[in-house]
Parts: sequence; structure tokens; C-alpha cells
Amino acid sequence: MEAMIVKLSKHFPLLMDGLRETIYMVGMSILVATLIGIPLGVLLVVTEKGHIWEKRWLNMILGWVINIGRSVPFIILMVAIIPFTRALVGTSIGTTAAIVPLTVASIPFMARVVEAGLKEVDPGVVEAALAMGASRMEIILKVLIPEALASLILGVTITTISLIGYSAMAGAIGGGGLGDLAIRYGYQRFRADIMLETVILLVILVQIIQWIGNRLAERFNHK
Amino acid sequence: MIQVVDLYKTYEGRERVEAIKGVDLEIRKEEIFGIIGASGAGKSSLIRCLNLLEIPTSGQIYVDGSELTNLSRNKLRKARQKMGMIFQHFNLLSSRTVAGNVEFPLEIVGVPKKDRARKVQELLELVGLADRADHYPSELSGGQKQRVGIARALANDPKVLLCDEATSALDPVTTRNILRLIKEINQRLGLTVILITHEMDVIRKICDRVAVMDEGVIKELGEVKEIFAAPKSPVTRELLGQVELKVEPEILRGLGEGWIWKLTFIGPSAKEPIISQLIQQYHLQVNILAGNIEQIHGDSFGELLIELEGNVDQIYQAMDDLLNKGLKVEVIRDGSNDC
Repeated sequence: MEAMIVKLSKHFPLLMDGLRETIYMVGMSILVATLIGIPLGVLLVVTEKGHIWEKRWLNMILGWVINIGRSVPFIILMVAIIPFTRALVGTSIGTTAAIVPLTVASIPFMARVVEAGLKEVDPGVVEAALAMGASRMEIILKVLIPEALASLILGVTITTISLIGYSAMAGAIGGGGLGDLAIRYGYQRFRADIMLETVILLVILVQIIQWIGNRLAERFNHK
Repeated sequence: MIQVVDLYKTYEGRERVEAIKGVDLEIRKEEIFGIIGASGAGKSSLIRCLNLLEIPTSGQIYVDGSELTNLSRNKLRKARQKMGMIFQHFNLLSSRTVAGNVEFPLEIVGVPKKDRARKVQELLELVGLADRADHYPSELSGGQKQRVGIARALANDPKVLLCDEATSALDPVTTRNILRLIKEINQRLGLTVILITHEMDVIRKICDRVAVMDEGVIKELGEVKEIFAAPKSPVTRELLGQVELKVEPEILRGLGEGWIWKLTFIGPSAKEPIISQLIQQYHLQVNILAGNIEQIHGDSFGELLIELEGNVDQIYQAMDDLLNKGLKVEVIRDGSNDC
């Protein structure tokens, strides 16, 4: 037991660096992905047939683009958008550079999750708002999003957790983070102890995020 | 108040559905106008056309003199703000409290926050839910939800209230209470109410006039009393739950040789002891074969199938008497030939 604690403390700075990098990468990516993904998800829903801003072509094109985004494997996406990353953050290597592909990968995911959440909103409520003379913007901001808020929070939670998975691959461009630590030390250098500690830390991280997500969703769910 | 001119609504899709096939309608100020029909009759499309939730394929809608069907998006929104609507499934915002739901239409119109709170309070008192202001819709019963719906619909002092199957999801007792509330509001605020329903009971309880819809057209329209008393179309009869008193030949064969009459009575005449008069005044033998009677606004309506035997002169006199009293007498079998 004592030996284990000594060992753990020996790796402590290493693990904490990894944790910090993971939180930074995933946190920034999820923030930007939410800001872009929610409007995209809203657009996907309202442009559908029979909804408040029916635009079949826009809906179809948006759907295609999102599907393409979701079908490209993350590792390939990361390499493919290197020029874009460099243009945006000035470098294509490092933790900050990893944020760009992580964000790009999670936007379509987020858009679909938001779409699914908004589709759960009772069409009758939208109809009632229309009958009251609400504008499209009012319906989006005062009806669709508040009514779907619990689902949206759970959606952001799911996206965050899958981003933690993606972030393990960020090591390929020197992004660092816990996943990268597990691969480099645990897998490539046969350090089973570090591998185990990393995985435990990831499990705890995911548990905490899911718990916070559930609590928040519960708080906003009045159904 | 509301005028519908030559309205058509066709849904184009995999299957073409002609929901409304030429409806003309004039709804008077401050009346409660009912539209009844079975599901699929087009009544739901019709009420949705009245505030343009459904865009008519052709035809015009006039509300309070202005044509709704050619308004711009913005003007239409303004017009809708002056028309309240309540729904079968209430359609309340689950994310807002009772007070928040009632406040919603006020926010849309842009009423200042301070005035909103006061108005919400007033409206909740009107519908008897002031003590539930901070509850969420999921904590309310169906009847309470519909009361919130009504308060919300009245928030911007509309001139018209559209009720889309507003009581169809409620139990009979709650239905009665909600109908009473609608009637009260209609009288107190001078609101014009249009309601659609598939229940004749709703029409009977609160409507002044009624239109019977079937297959996208209005089959019959008039004062509720008249329609109940003398339904013209088979659809109306069906909705009334009345079986037309048909006289099967087998029944006649089993009877004596007397006259058979079908009496239709409306209103006050039904209160008179007609049968005993026939017996005592004209010394006739009366045998009741079938009948049905309904009560509307305190008056009786119905049909009676009777068999009569007695002196022919007396029978003719009795018939005159009944006709003078305002009854309809239909001779199903003439007994005079057999005498």
C-alpha cells in the first residue's frame, strides 16, 4: 500500500500535467463546439419541412455537410486540417493546436445531438406560440431552447465525454493529455502502472462530468 | 366579427387531402359559435385557418373587418396577438411555471415587466389559479392546465377566443367546469368564442349557434335549439346520437289496425301532457311505440311514435289540436281505411 502511494506520488506531476492538458483541450473545444453546434442544430430543425422556417435545400445541404464531417475518422481529420489549424492558431503542433481538430470534429456531433434534443419539443407548444403571434426568433429562444434545455445539457455532456476519447489521439500532433500519456508511457514503454493510473484518472473524470451533467439536466427538467 | 368566404384547404402530399371544400361562414360578435363534426370532417383545419396556422389554399378570412389572408408576416403576428387560442392538449411550456406561461404572450407583445406581473395575477384570479402561480404544468391536473391555457389565451385582451377541442382530453365534470368558465368569460368580457368539438354535449351546453361539418363542407348551420329539434342531415343525427325513429314493417304487422303517428315536438309544447289529452279529451286509445327526448337550454326536444285507435273525427280533431300547439305530426299509417 505504502509502496503504491510512493509510486503514485512519483508520477503525480506527470499525471497532473496530463489532466490539465486534457481539461484544457476538451474544455476549450466543447465551448467553441457548443457555440457553433447549437445554432447549427437549431437550423437543422427549423428548416425542416413544416417547421417555422422551412428551407428544404438548406436543410439538405446542412445535413450532408454534417454527415461528411461525422464520417471522417478523427485521426485523418486532424492531419487533413493542419493548414487550417496553422492559419488559425499559428502552429500545428501542441495542446492549443489540438483544440482546432477536436472542435471541428465535435461540431457536427453536437449539431446532431442538439437536433435530437430540439425534436423532442412538443410541436403543439410551437403551434401555441405561433398562435400567440411569436416571431421565429422568439420561438427559438423562448420556446425551443428552454423546452429542450435538459436534453441539450445531456447532449453537451455526451459530446464532452466522447471528446475526451478523441483527445487521446491528439498526441499524434503533440497535444498531450491523459490519453496521450497512456499511449506513450503505458503502451509504448510497457509501463503498466502509469497506464493503469491514467485510466483510473480518466474513469474518475468521466464519472464526474456525467454526474454534473445529470444533476444539471435534472435541475432544468420540469416535465 | 369573423367572416369566412369560399374557403378551400387542400393538403398536397403523397396523398392529396381536401380538408375544406368551400366553406362560407359568418360568426357574430360576442356569440359562442360551435363547429361540430366527426374526426376528419375538416373542423380542425377550419379553426386553424381562422388564425392562419394553416394557410388556406383559397378563400378569404376577415376578422373584425380586416382581411387576414393578405396580411404581411408582421401584421399577421399582430393580428394573432388579438386572437386567443386554447388547445386539446393545452400546449403549455413545461419549462415555465404557471405564471411564466401566462406571462409568455405578454412578453411577445412587449408589455413592461412591472405591468406583466400585475396582469398575470389578474388573469390567474380570473381562472381561479392564483394559488398555483409558482407550480409547473407537470404538477397540475388536466382541468387546471386548461385554466392556465385560458388565462394565457386571454393575456392580451383578445376579441376572439378559438377553442380547439378544448375539453376533449378532460373528464365530464372538468369539462363542465371549463365550459362554465368559457361561458362566463364570454359574457363578462364580451368575447367572441369559436369552438370545435366532436361532442354534441359541449355544443348543447354553451353554444348559441352551431355548424355541422362533414367531408369538408358545412352540412347544416343554425341556432343550437333548431338543430337539436329538427336535425336535417343524417350526419347531424349521428352526432346527436339519435337513431331516427324508423318504423319497421314487422312492427306494424304485429300491431292492431290503428293509426300510427310520429310526433316531433320542440320547446314548450313538450311540457304539455299531450298523451293524456289525447286520451281524456278525444277518448282515444294511445299506445307509445318508441320515443326519444333531449333537453337543451331547459327546453325539450324529441320524437314520439304512437299508435292511436278511436273515432275518426276525434282523431282528425286531435291532429288539428296538436298542429296548433306547434307539434309536427307525421302519419305513418292511416287507420281510417281499415275502419
